[in-house]
Amino acid sequence: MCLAIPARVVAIEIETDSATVTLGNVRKNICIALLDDVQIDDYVLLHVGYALHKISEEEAARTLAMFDEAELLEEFEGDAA
Amino acid sequence: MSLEGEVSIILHAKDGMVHAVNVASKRPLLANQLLQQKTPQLAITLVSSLYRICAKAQACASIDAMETALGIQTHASTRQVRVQILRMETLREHAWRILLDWPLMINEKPDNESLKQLLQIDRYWQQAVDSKAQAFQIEARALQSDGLIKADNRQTTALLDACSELLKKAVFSRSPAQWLALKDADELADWAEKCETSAARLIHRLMHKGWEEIGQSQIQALPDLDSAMLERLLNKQNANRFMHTPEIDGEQYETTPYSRQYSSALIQSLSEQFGNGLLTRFVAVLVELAVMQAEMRSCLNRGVEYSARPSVKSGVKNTRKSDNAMGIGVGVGVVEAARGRLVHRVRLQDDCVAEYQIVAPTEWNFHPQGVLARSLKYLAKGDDEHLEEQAGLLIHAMDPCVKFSLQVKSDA
Repeated sequence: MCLAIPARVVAIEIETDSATVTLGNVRKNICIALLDDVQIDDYVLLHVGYALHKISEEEAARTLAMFDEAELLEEFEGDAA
Repeated sequence: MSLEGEVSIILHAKDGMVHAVNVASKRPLLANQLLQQKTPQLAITLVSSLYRICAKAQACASIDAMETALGIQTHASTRQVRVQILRMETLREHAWRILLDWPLMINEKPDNESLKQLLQIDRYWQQAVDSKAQAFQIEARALQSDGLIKADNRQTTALLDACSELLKKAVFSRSPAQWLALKDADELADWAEKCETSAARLIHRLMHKGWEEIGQSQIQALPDLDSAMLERLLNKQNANRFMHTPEIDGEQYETTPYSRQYSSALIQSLSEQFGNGLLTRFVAVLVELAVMQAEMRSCLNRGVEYSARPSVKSGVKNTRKSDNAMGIGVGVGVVEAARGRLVHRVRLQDDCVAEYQIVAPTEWNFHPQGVLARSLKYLAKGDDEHLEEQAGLLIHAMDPCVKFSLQVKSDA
């Protein structure tokens, strides 16, 4: 039962189908081979090292606000996959 | 503890043998915190957004719990639409492991392209089966607005054909239905030797190395849990303990593709010959993959006159609203998700969620004395690297959903 946390794409490496994403101060390299047309500043949901879905900025903001409201984001330790 | 959780596994070995195992699932219980004070419909939507990996299983369990709590009788066809969506999700989740994780275990590259195609089929399937996105609206609203939910048969048939073709190419080298006709270890070995897919090569490797029986354990399959029992387990002071480390009257149980597919001829034959070790468990995932395809097809062929009670193997447990032993405002939803049985329980008060609990399959299977912990004590003798390889295979065969860490500590 994996919680899906939105992460923002900050860099893309086309040759390796990989991207760097951030959530707060944490950065992580992920595989984007399963998604089409990932762009910088897109929000993606991660699952064990893969970007699984692209979601809108609004949906990402809603989800992050929920975590924030429940004071959960401070518990985030960094491995968003 | 991270938000996503993690399973930590430590093997203690001496003279090349495992003598103790520590399994700890460190997953925070967040559902109650996140869903309290939300309306039932909003809570259902949030559950499938937050737990996106098995979003449809989560949505099925959530809406079933809500409808029970609200005393709403779900229409059989609506229930069947949910089950069809859930079957494709189960197929997709198994395919994910088979196409991306299994190749890594035999030093091959993940098959990203096939999984990408399957993710697309899954998206189109949901749209075709539930074109107005009503399946997870609380029943009363759906019926008021549009009557029954109906699938577009031509489109769904085409999607199932595409899915079958993809599984043939990427996994089975024959149609899933033909593969399901394999009866025993000899036929399986023949398939594994001749078939040119990573899944077949993994099975071939296990058989070639004589690792079929590794990790056998004595543990019962999780029995049916009726609402009265779930209420007893979850409505008490130590409910949090139950959600973290579930057991019934001190006994641990497993809930996996193996325990669900035990009645298949191939799994029974392998179990008799090799027990419930590595080979049988990996093959059970393949069986369930093919069974999901077959059940979706069979359901489609029957048309909209679906049975009111879907297969427990792959469906939503049909809680009879009139038998709600939990009282008004309380409901449970029980669903067979890809990795095992998923239970949601809700208590409503003043039209909002007052309490929300989730028991995930990983907590049964990765319980400190559960099926994984027991199985890891029966690895073949070897050095640390050898033990780690076998343990990694067993963990993947049981699929924890969240990331895991594995350590082998050899005692002097």
